[in-house]
Amino acid sequence: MTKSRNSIELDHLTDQLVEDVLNMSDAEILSEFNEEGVSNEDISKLFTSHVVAAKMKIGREKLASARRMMMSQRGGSDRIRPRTPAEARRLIDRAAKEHSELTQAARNANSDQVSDRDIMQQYADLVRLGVIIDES
Amino acid sequence: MEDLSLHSNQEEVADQIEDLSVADQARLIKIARYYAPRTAMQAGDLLQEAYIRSIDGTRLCPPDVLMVIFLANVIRSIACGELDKRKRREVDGGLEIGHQNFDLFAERKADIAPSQEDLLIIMEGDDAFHAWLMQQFENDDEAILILLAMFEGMKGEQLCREVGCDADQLATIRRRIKRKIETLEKSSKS
Repeated sequence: MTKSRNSIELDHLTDQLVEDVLNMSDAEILSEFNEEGVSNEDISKLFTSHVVAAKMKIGREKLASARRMMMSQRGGSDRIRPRTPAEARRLIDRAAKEHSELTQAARNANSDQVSDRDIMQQYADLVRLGVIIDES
Repeated sequence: MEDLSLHSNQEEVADQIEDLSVADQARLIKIARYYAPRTAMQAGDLLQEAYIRSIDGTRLCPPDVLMVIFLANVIRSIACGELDKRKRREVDGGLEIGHQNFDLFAERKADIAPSQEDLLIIMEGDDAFHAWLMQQFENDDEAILILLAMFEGMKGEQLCREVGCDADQLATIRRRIKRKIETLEKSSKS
């Protein structure tokens, strides 16, 4: 698929506008903002706010990445040591209280409708998903 | 476990971005505003994404390129590079070819190629933006001529000669075009 004529024309236009901005003197670029009532301090605050927001995004991604790595290291079924159904129910119940996004099935871990076998499987699934960090 | 700390080069890039002068900060804010109407992103998001790509090593700043120029390139790449990349990948199987004016640096990681659907969305967005720009100056013949000449890639003396205007008139119209785009970008936030 090739670029449309309009896209190519807009490339030319925006490239020129950017070139203009890069070639303007410091005084010229700042006066454009100042004429609109935006002070130099406002410019810095705005730019810095975007840098801070970007850093936060990077931080969140690093955390998610670390979490995924931990999950993959602990995720193999052979690494999940079996716990008693009662202990699994207690941990699932605690996790469900901390994670509102958990399904109703997880929230009902303590109900008698879920078999011991199913509750152990549910526990293993939650460890693999990283909801529960298995400390064994 | 993977080392999650920044590499020294990334730390240097982060320091350089934080040390940008207020004039360079202003330039980048404006540049993001010019490209934002061509994307589904707002100018602020474009700036943030440019920062992230510079820090995470997706884009590498050569030592001889000014940080403001480098970031301008990253913004451009984010905003409208995807179409080029997709096209090139189809033609040459993945070899990245730099834009003649703006790709001053090599890409370390290949971006995820957009789908055909993404490309259609980008082009539809460009068509709408193109039509909007033309509409803004429909009652101003001189501005339309200059806009059309800029669309063709003309600039400076060549443009003045072709359109029949002087440098001051050209500067005035260019300023008006920039303001219109900035106004559009600002209004999209509200």
